Amino acid sequence: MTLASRLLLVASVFLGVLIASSTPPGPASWVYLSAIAFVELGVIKVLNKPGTILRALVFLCFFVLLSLTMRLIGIFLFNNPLNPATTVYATLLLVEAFLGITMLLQLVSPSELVWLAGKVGFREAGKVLALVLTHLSSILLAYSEVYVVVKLKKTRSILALKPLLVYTVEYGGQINEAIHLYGLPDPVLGKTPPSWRDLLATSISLALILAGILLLLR
Amino acid sequence: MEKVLRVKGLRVRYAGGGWVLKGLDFELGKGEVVLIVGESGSGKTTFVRAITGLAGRVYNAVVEGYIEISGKPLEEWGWEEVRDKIGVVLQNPRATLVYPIVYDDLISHAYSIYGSASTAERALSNVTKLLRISHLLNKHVDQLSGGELRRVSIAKALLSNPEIIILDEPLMWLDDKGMEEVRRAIEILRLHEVSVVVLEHRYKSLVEVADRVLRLEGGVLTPVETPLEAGRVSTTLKQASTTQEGGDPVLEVRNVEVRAGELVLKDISLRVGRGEKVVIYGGNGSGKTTLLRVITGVIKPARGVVKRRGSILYVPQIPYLYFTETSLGDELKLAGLPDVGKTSVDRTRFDLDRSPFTLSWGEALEFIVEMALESRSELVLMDEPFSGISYTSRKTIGERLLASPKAVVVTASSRENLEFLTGFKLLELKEGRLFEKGLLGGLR
Repeated sequence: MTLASRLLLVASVFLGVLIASSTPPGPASWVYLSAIAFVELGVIKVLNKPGTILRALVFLCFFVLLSLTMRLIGIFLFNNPLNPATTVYATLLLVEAFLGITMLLQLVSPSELVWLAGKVGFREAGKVLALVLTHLSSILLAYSEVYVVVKLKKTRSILALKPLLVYTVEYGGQINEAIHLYGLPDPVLGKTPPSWRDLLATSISLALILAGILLLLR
Repeated sequence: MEKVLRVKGLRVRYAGGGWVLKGLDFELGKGEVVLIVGESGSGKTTFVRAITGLAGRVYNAVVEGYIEISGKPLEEWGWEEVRDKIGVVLQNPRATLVYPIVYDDLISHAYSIYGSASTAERALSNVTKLLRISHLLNKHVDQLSGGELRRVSIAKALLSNPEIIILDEPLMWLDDKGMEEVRRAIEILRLHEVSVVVLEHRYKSLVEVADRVLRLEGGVLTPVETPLEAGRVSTTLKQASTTQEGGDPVLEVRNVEVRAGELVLKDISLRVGRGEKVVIYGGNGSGKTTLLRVITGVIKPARGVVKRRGSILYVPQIPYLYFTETSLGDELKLAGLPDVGKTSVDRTRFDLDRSPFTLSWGEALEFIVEMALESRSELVLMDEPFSGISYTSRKTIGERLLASPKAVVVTASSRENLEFLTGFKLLELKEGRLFEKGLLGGLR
């Protein structure tokens, strides 16, 4: 898929969430919210293994249950709980915004993000973001090792900061050395010819945007 | 033979320290493969930093002597020209990657060199074909094995078509498969007449591919006259005829099942008796570290039972991650050794007021081993303890572990390391299952 159609898809989802949040829950808003969820889950299904869609649904249900539980607590504590429909609607909006971010990170690669950041004047910040995304897992792995050590040493957990700090500084030094050797190049984006997927994604995006406008004008 | 690199009387010292390199001489011919061996902390990395200009530029080190690249003194080359002439594969190859997708990273680097998309694509295509890594291009860095990551890093170093490639400890952390991949990559470079300098203390599998072997010791390079013990690591293990009798169990793992992302450990059972020595052998990503974490109780198994009797001391792959205190003496106290005068640890060369973070990798490991074996812990877990240390240190540590009355469980990803664990009970972790292979009697 081309970057343009992927970005349009992500933008339409975020715009949809924004429109849905500014309209009160009603039959039309519910249908619109479901349509956004359908698009998000569809993208997750296409991009991931079959089990992921199940996990996304569990994630969605978990938050709905959480909101209903909070409502129950509200009944007992304040005697003035929110309307259940409003509670679930607001929760779904939040979950869909989260899924939208997941979708953005899956549909747009880090080098494309850097390229986009460069287009809006944040080129260096974008490169730093790329470096963080590349090296974060390696640093987190070291952090988890320190967690095991500190847990077994039964020492004050604040002391875990010391090896973490030393390791991070050391790792930063290695990256610094690498940047001197290889530089910090701008991303180069390959050209992707449009395909039927782009047509599908653009149609879905435009439909979502149009439906959102109709919802606002209702 | 045409010389691509000449070094005369090279002396390097970092701010506030003594001379690390003390008048080193070195010459590298076109297409020559030179292996430089040396103990941990002998100055191998400093040598790389000096000849690439990094020592003065990044580390503010004092560099004296004469360095000539392709017939011209180092100072006469521009910084970017040096970068194009010498490709460096760092100890941590991951550090060289800016973008997490292999293709994105390599193509952006190629474009920064050539300034033309078509030339960059051509250079990338040539390098990926040469190193046979085309299938890795669309992978995320986290999906690469250790060997694949090194090959990607070598590819990045080759993109500028350098005359010299320097590999700084290319075998660190690698399992048998990864070692073989790097070895093959060096052979390919040699076939294409690229001059290669390999700095490695895990040299056995590389001696055959090197034209010359030098030892870095006392700040100078000397030719190794007697051939170093060489050869690919044997695939068969000799097993001792006797069996190891452990005492009362300090650890019992029964029918454990663990799921951690893609990794699945199934039906894992393990019993470690007091004083028993066990090595868990398996390739990178086979689940050894995960299994150790299950033993420590940090990861809860989905099924099965883990019973620990007594305390556990865990030594991570990177020994510095163990240290939480300000001095070595405080580390000893925390490990249950308050009366430091009576331990063997302080009889070694360690100043107990010293900060643990100032120790070299080898020293840190040696200190932790000595401390662990005298600590109050019943069971010592060591994750890949032999990475980053010389064969001599491996032998010393292996013997020390075997002689200790403590129960010890270590992991190893290379058969080469099993040689130093003679007398240990060997368990192989393969496809998520643990197989008992008997008692180690060394390699055939």
